[in-house]
Amino acid sequence: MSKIISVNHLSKSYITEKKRIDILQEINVEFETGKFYAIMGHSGSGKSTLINILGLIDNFDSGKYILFGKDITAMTDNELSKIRMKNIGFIFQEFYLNNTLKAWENVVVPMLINDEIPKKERKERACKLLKMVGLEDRMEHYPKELSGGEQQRVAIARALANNPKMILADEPTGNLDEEHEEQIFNILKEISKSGKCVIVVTHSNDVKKYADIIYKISNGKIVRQDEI
Amino acid sequence: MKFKDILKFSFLNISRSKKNIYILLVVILCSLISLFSLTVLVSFNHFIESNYYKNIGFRTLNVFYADGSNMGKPIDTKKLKQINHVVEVFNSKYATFTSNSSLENSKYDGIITLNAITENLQLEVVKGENIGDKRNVAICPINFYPDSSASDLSLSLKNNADDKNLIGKKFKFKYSKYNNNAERPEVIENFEKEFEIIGLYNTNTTMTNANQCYISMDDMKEIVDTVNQNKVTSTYVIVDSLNNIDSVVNEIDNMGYYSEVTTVFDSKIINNFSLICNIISLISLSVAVIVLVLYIRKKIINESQNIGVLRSLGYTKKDIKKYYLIEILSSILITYLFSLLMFGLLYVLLKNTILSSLNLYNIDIVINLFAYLTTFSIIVIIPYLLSMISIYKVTNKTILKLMKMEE
Repeated sequence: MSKIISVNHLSKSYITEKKRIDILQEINVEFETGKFYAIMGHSGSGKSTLINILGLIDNFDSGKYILFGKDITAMTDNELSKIRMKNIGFIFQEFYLNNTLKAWENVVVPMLINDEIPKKERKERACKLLKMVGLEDRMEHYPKELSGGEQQRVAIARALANNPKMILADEPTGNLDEEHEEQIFNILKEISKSGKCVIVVTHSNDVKKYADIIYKISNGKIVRQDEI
Repeated sequence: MKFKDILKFSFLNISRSKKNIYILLVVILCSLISLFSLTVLVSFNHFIESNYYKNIGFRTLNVFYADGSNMGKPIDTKKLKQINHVVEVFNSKYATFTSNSSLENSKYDGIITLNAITENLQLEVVKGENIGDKRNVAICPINFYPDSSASDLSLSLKNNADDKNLIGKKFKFKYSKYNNNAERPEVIENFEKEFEIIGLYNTNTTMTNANQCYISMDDMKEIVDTVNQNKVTSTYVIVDSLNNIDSVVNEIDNMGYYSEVTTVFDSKIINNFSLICNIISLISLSVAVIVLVLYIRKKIINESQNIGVLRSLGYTKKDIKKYYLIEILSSILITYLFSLLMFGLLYVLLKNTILSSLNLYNIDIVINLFAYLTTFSIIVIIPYLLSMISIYKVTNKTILKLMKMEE
């Protein structure tokens, strides 16, 4: 296991017309490969902001964010995009699948910008990933023909398309029932066991059964709850 | 991101959405209508230009004395010739002469009309040679139909003589001198004059019947003066261009004569027809552009979230711009090319069916570059430029704004 993320004294605030809201204050946290992390907290606590910053789709006001040993502060937009493409896989609550594309085609989308994956291997790779999440018989289906749980599994396969080192999931089970929630957490656990760093932001207490480390965010501060 | 991949995924995106297909069908329909109306408009203008502007009849002035009396008083043709832009002046009695000919057979009655031509008024010959200063030669129609029913286009086009054997063919023009003083005109003497056909002309350019041949002015004078017909005559003044008619008319007025154009074109018809074609083109092009611009704008707005997702997956702003610009351009281009293909097929079909009758009136509906360039620049370039602005605006938004995830 190796440390891939190191966040030091990271802060972020929003300024509204009336007041300044400190959404994250002096956050210090580290993440390693091969572990399943859960970040919990109430709505508006800043957990989604943190995962967005970790996934390089949001910025921060102060502090340091070292990713794979490199300070991301001075990186250009193109460099950040390249890191996202190669090393980060996103899973969102709303799935965000392209409805005009079949399940396997949705998984191929991130591969289109990765020159390391040859064109002829794309479909085979997408099918393998869909098989891994238990959708081998749903590859030719469009998102509208799939249940919520199945759609989220397609989104997980898509997140894994470029074989990233870490998976960031923002409320991945927020729109799912208990049965599907369990399936998704099981898959994410398996992914972490394969050596990837999985960070999940969730409200669900069931995540405790799967997470190796749980962080709680409250009033913009992060507290490590326990290590399993 | 490779061009081929973008094209493939663009095609999947467009072809799998019924709404996209319906919208693009509307654009195809509008493109087709505008292509047709512009083609008809240009063809019609071409017809007007090749007939109205080139044809001598529309720039021939008939000159009389201002009081209408032209008997006994000769018009000063030398003075008329000196007027600027006047190409030719001659007595109207030498303009045409209709009579029988040796071309009479079981198919034709042999009636032909001879028109005089001077060196200044040479004809556009499509085969053979022009008259120049030669005598006893004639230029006849390429669809020569030596029959009094030549004005019936459907007959003359069906039964015209074979143009391969016309050049070098000789015919005799038969005319008679009459005693006009008798109760009924009596033939005093019959004459024959032989002509050799040395050139062929297209009646489309002269708007004459297919039984009209051209001979030299000297030959015409010989025929007319032989029969010595005391016709009421006037003087024909040929102007070099339609634009100069008014100035020549003014000059003639100043000389104390009265003049009028022998053949007047109904410009109201031209103007109304052009106006209708322009309105149809304008409406169809506007609808196509509005539909396309709204469709692209809505597509980009609807795709904002997808753009955010693609950005989160590692697509750069450049990748996104490239993807959407190629997708939009390819969809507009495919739509336009499909319209062109449909237009081509319909054009061939219509030209060989409904529009074939227009040939009888010398109107040829031709495919023209103007229609293509106009529809291409309006239907393809304008919406594409506008979509570029929208794409650049959208891609400059933050990923969270695009995904509407900002807290």
